[in-house]
Amino acid sequence: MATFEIKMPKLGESITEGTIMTWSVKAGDVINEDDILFEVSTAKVSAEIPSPVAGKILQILFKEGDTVSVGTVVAIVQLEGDSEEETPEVGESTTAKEEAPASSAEPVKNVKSEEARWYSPIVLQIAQEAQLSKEELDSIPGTGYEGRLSKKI
Amino acid sequence: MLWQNEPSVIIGKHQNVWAEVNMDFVRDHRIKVVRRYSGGGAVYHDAGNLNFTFIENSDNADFNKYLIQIQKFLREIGINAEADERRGLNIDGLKISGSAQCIHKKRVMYHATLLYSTDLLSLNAALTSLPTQQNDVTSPRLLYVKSVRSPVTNIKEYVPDNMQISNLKELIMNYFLKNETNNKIYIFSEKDLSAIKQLSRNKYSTSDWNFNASYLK
Repeated sequence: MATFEIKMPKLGESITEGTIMTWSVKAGDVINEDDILFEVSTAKVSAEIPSPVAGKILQILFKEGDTVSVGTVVAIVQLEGDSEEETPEVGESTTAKEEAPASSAEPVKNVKSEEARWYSPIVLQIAQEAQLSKEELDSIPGTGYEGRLSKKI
Repeated sequence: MLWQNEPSVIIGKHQNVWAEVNMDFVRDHRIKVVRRYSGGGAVYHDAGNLNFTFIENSDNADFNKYLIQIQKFLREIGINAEADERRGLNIDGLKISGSAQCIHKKRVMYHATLLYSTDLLSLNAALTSLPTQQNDVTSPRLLYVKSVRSPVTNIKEYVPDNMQISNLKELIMNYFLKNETNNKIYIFSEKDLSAIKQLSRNKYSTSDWNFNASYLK
């Protein structure tokens, strides 16, 4: 059974966490790609988060009111169909739930966050001077906060 | 978009109106209270205030770029405004502009106010909720975003005496048309206006949306 981890997205530059205000889905719900799953709020940003995949909600790992770090798995979706080919390229798909924090209040810190990684202006400047492409930059493992790339070696 | 409102209090999406607004004052002065779609805290609008809205498609919102654009514009008219960590703009520590953001799927929106000649006494009175109101709250929700109060000032104090808000609007429009070559003046079509009116009728002018925070469920 192929599953997909829904993670707390990054709501703009420099945002490291968000509060889950409402869930639009519950465990057992069948969802289409792009359906709104939950709403997140930071001090200034309000965001409705769509599902990148179609399937069935297996588990919701945080409740409304929980503040969660960017990159933390907040829900698990059972992907539609059985084929591995349907696994989307973006995001990580796992066949086992390894780091489900259940009701733990301790947010799971992801070492490497997927999708668009955040780079500080200084890192981007160094990369530009070194003529590194976005892909090359993405492939460098980060040593900074939440796996971010740091200018330090 | 550059736009204005009649005297009104605009609260953030996840705010509790009773905790943010002096309900007696807004009722007595016929000030409307409206909940917006973006996050952040409560603001006061009147004909002395200008509002910016930027909407774009983006996978990775960089909200600071809008803040910087407004800051650059102000510098061009001789106003040195400092940005703060809440994406507000201040002159000598007094706030002249506040902002709020929202993301809907791939669509990002950035709102900002700009105080030019707003009635600051009304602003402060309307945005000071009465302690007794807190007892009236029969809250369906526990989660609210609380406003961060800031001392404010008007830009009018910092520009030549003969400058009117209409001049400022013109300068803003010219600045954004000149610096963003993709920008063009757009006039709402009949179809747009009809969709806007329908949205207003069904959502934004309803007391369920504006006062009851149960709208999300």
